[in-house]
Amino acid sequence: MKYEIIVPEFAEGAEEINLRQWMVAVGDAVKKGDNIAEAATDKIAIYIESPEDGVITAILAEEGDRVLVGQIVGELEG
Amino acid sequence: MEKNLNWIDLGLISYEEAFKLQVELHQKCVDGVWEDTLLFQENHPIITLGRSSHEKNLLYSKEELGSMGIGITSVSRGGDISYHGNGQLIISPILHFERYVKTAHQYVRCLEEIVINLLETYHIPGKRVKGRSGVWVQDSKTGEDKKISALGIAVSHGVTLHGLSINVNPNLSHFSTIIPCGIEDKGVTSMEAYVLTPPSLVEIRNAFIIAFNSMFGTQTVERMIEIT
Repeated sequence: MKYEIIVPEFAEGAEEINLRQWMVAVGDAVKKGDNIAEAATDKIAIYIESPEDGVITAILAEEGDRVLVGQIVGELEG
Repeated sequence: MEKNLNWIDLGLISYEEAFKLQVELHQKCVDGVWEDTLLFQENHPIITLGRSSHEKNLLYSKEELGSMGIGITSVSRGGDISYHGNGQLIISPILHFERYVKTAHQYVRCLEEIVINLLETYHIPGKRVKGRSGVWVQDSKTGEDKKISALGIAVSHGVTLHGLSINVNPNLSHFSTIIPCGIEDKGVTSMEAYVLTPPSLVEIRNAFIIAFNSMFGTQTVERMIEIT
């Protein structure tokens, strides 16, 4: 089953955050809750977690991209 | 619902040693085997490079900083470049922020408000500056806004780490080795500049605990911890 990797709500409403680093690559196996990407504003660094156990199948945002809360930045197959 | 958390004062400690402990406590908090905790410390002089830091904001080489007795290290918090040293109280709340607020952004806003409320008890008019992080005070002579408290947090598995610093009576000349937080046109100040007798870090620690409890409706208990 396909799962989407989504930027979590760290602020109310749509707000941009800088996708700093992917900690996984396509083909990597991950467990639910693993930190798989790091994003940061001028005050907050957050870790995007894997929503389920599975294998990363797509990276949809590049390191350095400005991404929005709720944006799908990757996919995994669980 | 009662919200209880611990507070631990590490005293004067190296940044690296304190961060190692912070990471351990953070993991224990995530695992549910340690309660939410306010961690207090004072560091030996060191420059920290956050996840959004830029090289151009470091004005001296590592060797030059070393000759001044200032270390340098990269850290996992948000934000740009910052300095920590004697006379500056560092507060690292390690907590499940969703127990207190809805979002990490709200949590940061509350931390800023706590500092503003604390400064008010010393008749220091702290404020936010639009587009800038942290807490600022307007210089009464020049009208310039100067930063008195820097802030940068990280959130992993729903638990926060890093936090904020309050300049009580640090060596302000050390801040000239960086462009603090990457903000070129703003200076740095301390509580010492606004009070007759600078308070001790212990006094500010206690004032922060009171202000934190007031903000979040919490009760805090001191815990001791062995540093190995």
